[in-house]
Amino acid sequence: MGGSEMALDRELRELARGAEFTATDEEVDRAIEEAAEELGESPESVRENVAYIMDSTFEEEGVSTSFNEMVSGTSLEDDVSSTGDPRLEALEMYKLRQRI
Amino acid sequence: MTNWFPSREWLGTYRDRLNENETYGEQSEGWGVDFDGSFVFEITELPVAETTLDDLPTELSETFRERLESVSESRIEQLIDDAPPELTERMDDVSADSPRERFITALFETEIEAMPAVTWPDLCAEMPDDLDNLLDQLERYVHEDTVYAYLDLYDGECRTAEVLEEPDGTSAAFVLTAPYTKWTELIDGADVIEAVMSQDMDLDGDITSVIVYPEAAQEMGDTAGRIETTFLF
Amino acid sequence: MSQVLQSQYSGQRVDTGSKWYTLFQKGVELGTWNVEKLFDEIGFEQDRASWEALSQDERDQIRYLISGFLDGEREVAGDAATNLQRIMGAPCLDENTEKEMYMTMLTLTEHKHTQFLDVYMQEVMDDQDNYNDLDPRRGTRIPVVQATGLGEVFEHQGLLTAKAANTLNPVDIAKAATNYHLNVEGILARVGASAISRFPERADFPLLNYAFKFVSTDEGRHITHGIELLKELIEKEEAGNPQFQGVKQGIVETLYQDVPYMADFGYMFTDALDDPLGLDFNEVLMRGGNLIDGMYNETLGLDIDYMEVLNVVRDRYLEINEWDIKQRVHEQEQHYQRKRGVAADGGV
Repeated sequence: MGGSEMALDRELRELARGAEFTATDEEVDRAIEEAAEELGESPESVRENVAYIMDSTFEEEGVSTSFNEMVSGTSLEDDVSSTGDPRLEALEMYKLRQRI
Repeated sequence: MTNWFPSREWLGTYRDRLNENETYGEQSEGWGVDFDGSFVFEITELPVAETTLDDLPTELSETFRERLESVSESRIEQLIDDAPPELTERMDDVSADSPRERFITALFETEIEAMPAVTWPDLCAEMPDDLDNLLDQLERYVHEDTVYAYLDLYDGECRTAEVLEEPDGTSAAFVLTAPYTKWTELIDGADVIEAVMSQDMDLDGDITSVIVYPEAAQEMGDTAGRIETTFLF
Repeated sequence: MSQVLQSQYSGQRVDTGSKWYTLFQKGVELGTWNVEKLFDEIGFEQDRASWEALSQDERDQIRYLISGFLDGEREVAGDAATNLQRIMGAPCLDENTEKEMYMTMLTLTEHKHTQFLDVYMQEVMDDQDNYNDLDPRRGTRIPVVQATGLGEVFEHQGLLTAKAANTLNPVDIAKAATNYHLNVEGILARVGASAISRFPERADFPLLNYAFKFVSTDEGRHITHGIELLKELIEKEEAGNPQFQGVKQGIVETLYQDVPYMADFGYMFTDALDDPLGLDFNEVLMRGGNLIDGMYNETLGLDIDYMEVLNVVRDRYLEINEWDIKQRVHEQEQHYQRKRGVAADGGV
């Protein structure tokens, strides 16, 4: 599978009632660039899918509670085996998804 | 005294109102009997770093300002002479014609968290009693930006309600935490259970005990909402 | 996402600008992860080693939790393939074609979740008799699921979705969608997932953790679908369409009916077993409350009566607190064994 064919919103937003961002924007940008190179996709496409994994809703204002409990929901904060940051966790899941 | 929130006096009123409240008494019968029913209310994010003396409600700040504007010249000179270095430095940064004006402006532009450094007993003697009392309480009870209130709730009664001077030395079975603005919403009539469900307030403790006493929890919130309250911030 | 996603393509019969088209397409892109390849990629070794190192009480706790998911995923897959698929074509709904397309994706993912759990429990957790020979498709649930309120929620799901598929009435559809997408997927599955996130370090199950994060991502799209479906029904009710009156009432009533049994689920994998892994019933209850508020009040704009919620949960909690759950499971097993005897004698 290649990158998304859809034009997506690329902004990575923290959800008020979701998992808190713990990494810096620079760390996330770098991780996305590395993943894009590894997967042979554009950084934009990877970022779009990370954003979608974190939040699949259509809300204009955005919802504050994540529907993806284990990746961008507050549960991530309890997960000792995770990256700890919802953006990096969604990126990990996207990389793994592209491998399988 | 006006029921200022947060204050020791407000908490005392809250305890009295809970104990006068028959519905609360009935609904919380048995609470704390076979388990620890004590609560700590944590009021976080008090705006003590952003709020100046001038920003406090008019009935506190204006009365004090008018007092300082009307004291004799010799009295104001004495106060300026006795001013601690922190206040003197602040006066140096004020551009005003008269020393009195510089003194008052510097004092009123001071943030609440810095008030202990710019006040002294002789100046406090010029303050309205409420202001003197509240500044004293803020100095004693605000830790970083948080105030801690302890309630001993037992079998339908609030046996003790006190603002904690040393919160580290007190533990409670239940801790209800929220920013100051959320507490003001509760006192203005917001539903406490909805506030917890929506994560505006954080409740830590044995939730299964609370589930058995939902009406008591609701009445605790509603009782706070029925106190005629004036907010300090 | 604050912007509606747009396809670069357009068709004649399929509206590529539809929300349900987007959900379908993103389901194709992200939801078709291959369960068997995940097994190969992560492997079973660490999960098996962790399982072996746990005490029997700790294993029981995880087994109860995962059993709820196994039966739950099977039930939602079955109802999606039949009842929900039919509901998506209801004349009272818009964008039927795209909704029907999306439902195939939802069904596929639910079957994949079942596939994962069934194989995982066989490969990693020492297999216990789940009475599969009595046919889970005809209501034989795992004993701990059937012996607790979780079975009641699934029973309700089957009844509500079947009724809605039969009547295609908006209020019936709202009730079915509430039970299925909000209560089962949006609350039960998410509080269960949050418990998996709280597994202590000694319960290190990387395969389970990764798989559940895929499940969680899939469920995120499913919940989005449920929310959008209910919003469509609510908007039509608020526009004054007579056929839709009663939608909001049906939604909140379905919550009040399901919520006491939903609390059972949390109890069955925590306090009922003295919670050796520290999964914390208080956390489960609080998370459930937060999720109710997030979906019902914040997203759908309803006004849930929390006293009603707490009262029905309290009544049920006082009842189940008296249970000996292992005894109830044992009695359910005995019941199944008697059914087996009847089946062996030529009965049905």
